[in-house]
Parts: sequence; C-alpha cells; structure tokens
Amino acid sequence: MFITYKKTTRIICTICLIAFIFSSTALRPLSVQAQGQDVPIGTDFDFNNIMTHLKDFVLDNLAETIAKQILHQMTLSIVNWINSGFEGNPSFLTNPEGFFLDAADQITGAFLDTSGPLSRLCSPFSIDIRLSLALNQTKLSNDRYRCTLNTIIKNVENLPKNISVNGRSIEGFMGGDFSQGGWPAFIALTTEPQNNPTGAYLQAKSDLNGRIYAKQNAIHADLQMGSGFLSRNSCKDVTEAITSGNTGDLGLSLNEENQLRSDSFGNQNLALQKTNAGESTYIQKQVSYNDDGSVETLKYQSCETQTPGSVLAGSLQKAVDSPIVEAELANDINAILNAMVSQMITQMLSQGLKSLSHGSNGTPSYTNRVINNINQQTNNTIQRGNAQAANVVNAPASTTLNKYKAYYDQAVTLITKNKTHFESARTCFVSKIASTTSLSTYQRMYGENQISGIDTYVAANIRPALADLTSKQTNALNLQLQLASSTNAATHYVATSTQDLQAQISAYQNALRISITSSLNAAGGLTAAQTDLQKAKTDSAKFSTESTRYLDSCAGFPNNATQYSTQTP
Amino acid sequence: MAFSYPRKQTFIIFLVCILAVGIAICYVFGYFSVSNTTSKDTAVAIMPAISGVAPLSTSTDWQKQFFQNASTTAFKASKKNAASGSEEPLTATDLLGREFFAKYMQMRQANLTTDPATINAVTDQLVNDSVGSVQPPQAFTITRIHITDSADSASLQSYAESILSILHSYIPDETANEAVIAQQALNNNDMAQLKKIDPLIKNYQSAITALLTMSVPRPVSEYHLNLANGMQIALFNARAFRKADVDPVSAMAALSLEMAGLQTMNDALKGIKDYFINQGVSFSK
Repeated sequence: MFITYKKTTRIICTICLIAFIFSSTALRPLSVQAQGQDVPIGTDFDFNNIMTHLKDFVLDNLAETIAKQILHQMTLSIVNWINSGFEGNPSFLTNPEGFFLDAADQITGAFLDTSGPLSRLCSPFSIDIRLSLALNQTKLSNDRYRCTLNTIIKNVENLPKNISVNGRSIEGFMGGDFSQGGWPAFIALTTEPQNNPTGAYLQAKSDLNGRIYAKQNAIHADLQMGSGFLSRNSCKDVTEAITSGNTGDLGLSLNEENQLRSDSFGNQNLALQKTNAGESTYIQKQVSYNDDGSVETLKYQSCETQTPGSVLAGSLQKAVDSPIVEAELANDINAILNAMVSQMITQMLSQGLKSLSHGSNGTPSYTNRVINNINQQTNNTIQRGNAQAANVVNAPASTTLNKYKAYYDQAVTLITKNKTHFESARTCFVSKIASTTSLSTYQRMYGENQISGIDTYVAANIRPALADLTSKQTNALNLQLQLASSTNAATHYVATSTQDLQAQISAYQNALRISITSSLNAAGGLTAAQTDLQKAKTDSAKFSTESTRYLDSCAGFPNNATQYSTQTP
Repeated sequence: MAFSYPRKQTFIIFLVCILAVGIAICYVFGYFSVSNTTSKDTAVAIMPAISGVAPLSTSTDWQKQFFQNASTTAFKASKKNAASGSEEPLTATDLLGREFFAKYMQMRQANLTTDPATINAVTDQLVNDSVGSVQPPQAFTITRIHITDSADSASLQSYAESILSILHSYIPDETANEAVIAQQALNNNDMAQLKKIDPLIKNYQSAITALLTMSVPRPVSEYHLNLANGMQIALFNARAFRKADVDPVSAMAALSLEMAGLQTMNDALKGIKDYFINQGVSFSK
C-alpha cells in the first residue's frame, strides 16, 4: 500500500513537471497576461504604400534605365581593360593582330575566289586582275595614287625621277612635247586614271564618297540598332569656343556657324546637325530664361552619338594598331549586346522583377536564392522550436509507455516460445504416425492420445494466457502510435498565418492531452504489467516442463508405447 | 629451350602491353600533345566539346556546344581572385563586360557571331551569370536575436513600441526610397544625386542594430527574424543603388530584390501584429 502511494505520487509529480515545462515554452502564446493591453503607437506603419508606389511608378522605368547604364558602364570598363593591355591577361585572344588580319583576309579571299564576283572575267586577264587586286589589298592606300608617269619617263632615260635630263620631264610631256615620254607615257597617261588630272580627281572623289558613305551607313546602322536603345550621347561644353568665334576644331562650316548664332536658332533649345562631321555629331544649344524673359544661361555643347560597338571597336583599333574592319566589328558587338540587353529587359518586364534571373541548369534565380536563404533560417527556427516542444510533450510519456510495453513484449515472447515447443512436439507425433508403417494398433492409439493431450493443454492454458498478454501488448503499442502521431501533427505544422498558428496550438494541446492520458494509462497499468510478467514467467516455466515431457515422449515413440505405459506424460 | 621460349614470349608480350597502356594513358592525359599557348581554363572548357561525335574539321557543332556549355571564365577567375584576395575586386559590371568581350572574341574566331542559337546561349548565360555573380545579402539566423521568455503586458508594450519606433525612424516613405532616388539620378544623368542614399544606408544599419539588440518575446521571434532579414535586404539594395553609376549590374540585382525585401518586412510586421491582436493587445492610433 505504501509502495503504491509512493508511485502514484511520483506519477503525479511527473505530470505536473510536464505541464509546467510545456506551458513555459511551447504554449507560451496562450498566455493571457497581455489581454486587454492597449499599445499607443501613434500612426500605424504600412509597407503597402511603398510597394504600390514602386510597382506603379518606379521599377519598370528604373529597370530600363539601369539596363542602359549597364551598357554604358560595361563599355567603359571594357575600354579601360583594353587600354590597360588586358592587365597582362588577354584570356580571350593570344594573337589579336592575326585575328583582325584574318577578318580582312576572309573578305578579300571571298572576293577573289573563283566562285566569287570575278568569276566571269575574260580568262586571259582574269588571273592578272585577281593577282593585282590581291596585291593591292596588301598595299597602303597611298600607293593607289602613286604617279607612274615619272617611272615610265625615268625608265626611258633610266634616270632618277623628277630630274629633267636633256630637256625631258613630266611637265614637259604634259606641256605638249610628245617626244619627252613617247607612246609609253601616252598610254600610261590615258589608261591609268591617277596619271591624269581628271582620272585622279574622279578616282579620289569616288573613294572619298565611298568612305563617307560607308562610315555614315555604319553610324546609321549603329543608331538604328535596338531603336536607339544602345546609343548614348557624349557631350562636351564648347560655349567658350563658339562665343569667342574659335570654332576651328568643331568642324562647322561658315554657314552652320552663322546659323547657330542667328536669332532664329538662338531663341530655343535646338540641336544643329554638323553635316561636315557625319550624322552622329551635332551642336546642342541650351537656353534658360529668367522670369522677365531675359536669358539666364546660354550653353553650347558638342555632342556625339556613340554606341558600345563603335566605342569598343575604336578602342580596339588603337590598342592593337592594326587594320580593323571597324564598322563590321561595331555592328557585331552591337548586335550581341542588343540581344543581351533585350533579353534582360524582356525578363524584367515580361516575367516580373522577381524573375530577373530565371536560373539555368536547374539553379534557382538570384531573388529566389536570397528569399530561400531567409526562409531556410526561419524554417530552422520553427524546426528547432518544434523539436524542443516535441521533446517536452513526448519524452516523459514515451518513457512510461515504452516501459509498459516492454513488460508485455517480454511476457508475450516467453509464452510464444512455450507454444512453439508444444507445436514441435505435436508435429513430431503426427510425423511419426504418418511415416512409420509398422505401428501396432496400440502404438497408434498412444500417439494419437499424445496429440490430443497436447491440443487440450494448449487450448486450456497457452492460448488464453497468450491472448490476454497480446491484447495488452497491442494496447501499449496503440498508445505509442497515438502519441507519436499527435506529436508529429503538431510539430510538422508550418504556421504562416494567425489561423495556422491557432491550428498548431490546438495540435499541441491535443498532443499534450494524449500524452497525459497515455502516461496515466501506462502508469496505472505498470504494476499490473509487472504482475502479468511475473505470472507469465511462472507459467512459462510450468509450460516448459510440460512441453519438454511431450518432446521426450515423442523422441522415444513408438518404442516407449507399451501396455505398461498407458499414461500420458 | 622448349621451356624458356614461351616464358620469354610471355614476358615480351607483357612488356608490349605495359608500353601500350602507358602510351594510351599519356595520350589521353595530353603528355604527348604539342605544347601550345592555350590556357588551362580553355583546355578544360573545350574538353566536353571534344567528346562530341561530329568531326571537328567539317562541323561547327562543337563550337556551338562550347558556347552553350562552357562555363564563364571571367566569373570563375573572379571567384578565384576573391578567394585568394590577390587582386582588387572587380565589380559585377566589370566582370560582365570582360566576359561579354571574351565571349564575343571567341564567337568571332569561331565565325558564330551571327548564329542565333549561339547568341541566345551566350546572352542567356551572360545574363544569369552576371546577376548570379553578385554576392547576395546574408540572412541572419535565430541565434542573432535576443529572445526573452518574458511576455507580460509591459514587455509586449515595450516591444511593440520599439518596433514601430524603428520603422517610423528608419524606413523612408515611398517618395524617398532608394529606388526612387536611383531612378531620379539615372534619368537625369546626375549621379551626384545618388549621395542622397547615404543617409538611408545609415538608417538601415541603425535599424538592423536596433532589431538585433532589443529583447524579443519568444512567440514573435520568428517574425522578428524575418523583419531583420527584410531590413538586411533593404540595406543591400540601398548600397547597390548607391553604386548604380559604377556597378549597375549590382543595382539590377538590387532591383530584383526590392519588392521581395519590402514584402518580407510587410509579412513579418503583419505576423507580429496578428500575434498581438490574438493576445488581445490593441493598437490605438
């Protein structure tokens, strides 16, 4: 009686301890201490206003502006990199000169190829023309205008050029004295354009026009690339030069200079295209006025429209000091840059800012990585709290429950072992009766009696004991599962709202109720379980003696079945 | 003689086999390759392309594969430099520029500057790698929060007032946000305006310090942690926008986080409010 009282006291203390620990940690939100409290906080704070404003008026525009800034800053960075000699680390190219010469060679090669534009030339001089063009490609452009007349006249007389000997010179021949050059000089004068004034002028004019046209086309193409997205104006203040009349470096014609200063142009903020310097440059005039209409500030700026491609190509040309196909290079660079920035913009505007980097090869986007990191920290906090709460709820109850169940596990194991022994003895008799053909009637009856005896004993003693113990063992197992399930439901709850939090608290309360009930059931049944185990041990010893007798009897069967041994074991 | 001949033959065959295996190993690992000027990075990057089945001399498929699969050398080099601290750090924009230029030159050499698939692959990789190269803001863990088990009315009131005081003191309104300032500076091409972000950076730092040093009732610790982490994003964004003129790629990353940071703080604040309301604490205006 004293022992029972002491144990009961211990159980109550355990329950009180559980309730105390649990209430001080996991179920703290249920505290009612704060109820009715009023917190005077002045105006409430709301992030929604900020988010709405940013979404409606700022972010889309800012995205495009930053994209333009990326282009600009990236171009500057590359130019600096190039100008620094790639910081001694040209990882992309080991032979830039060769690379750029390759580009020129490719164009020349394609032009001179037998399947190219020259393929329909008359065969007798086709090779000569191709060879001539190929050789010209390697010459400096100045050679194209080199006068060959003096060479011819020099050859005639075999004398240094520009020296008149015996009255013979270019001037003399051009002055009408046919004898000073003869037919060779005449042919050279009439067939080679650079040798006569008209031909030389036309050739030079044609080349010049071609170059200007090519340059303007390249700039025009640059400006059109990305609908002006790539272009950026680079301006410098030239107010002093214009106001002082020192406009020599600005590339303005007299007419343009006058137009810039004229009243018709001077009253507004306008830009004057500098035709002499190409389409991409212009003079910009900015005027601001006082309230009385007088001019407050007058500013002139010389501006140049640049694209990343043109800046990079120009920079490269200076860096490698080799003939670059500048316009072609600029177009290529602009095309790829345009694709890249367009992709950035597309991602930002079409997929939303959170999808700026949509991730590749299964990696999450930049934004998602940051948010995932924060969520991970929060989840860790929740999991740690849940684990602590689960331990508080589960540990004491499960200790009692485990002990309770262990008693019945042991008892069931003992009786089950006895049952197995009886079954072995029965099987032995059945087998010997079936397999031994020389059994007498008495021996057969003896064996069947043994089997019947085993069945009767097992039915009367083993099965009821085992059924009782197994039932109690199952009950203990159910309590364990119920506790685990309720704790799991509570601790795996991810609260994302007040409603979720309430649900989680309810789940914890349920887990705690089950824990306490289980503890009480287990604790109340613990003494009975110990008694049951003790009884099972005693019974098991008795059952073991009986089963051993049957096994021994079967071992001696059928020889031990005589008329003098009619008793069952 | 009859006995020794087979042993000699076996020995020779064994030697030949060993020699063959040795040669094969040397060939595979490049010991017999002619010394060239290709960098280690390039050699490594080209390896996957070599495993392709198309003949190299007649097909450009391997080159396309190279651009579609090759990892970006500048970003890798940057990580190495950052790890070793051997060179001054390059901005994300510098890295993007160098990587773009290197890629362009490689494409040019491979005659793929007009190939749409290659351009798509390269630009896609550049966009992702450039934003990915920006070091993200580090999230705080729960251990940085000073959690208290005290949840009496005085503690809760003190906590609520502290939180709202921090928000009112340090969070700018919608007209003075860092993104708004950056927008004005970039649109006006007046980068001096970016200096207006400096006070915001200080404010965010002060707010984070206050959030990490104050006592936090245990039930709201999770929300408080999120509030601090949202503030950390805001600080990161302000710093990135401040350098929008020299490192716009980082500013772009910040732009992608702007709404996420505000949303994180908004959710955290809502969670704290809900808890107080659930506890019967009212907020008078």
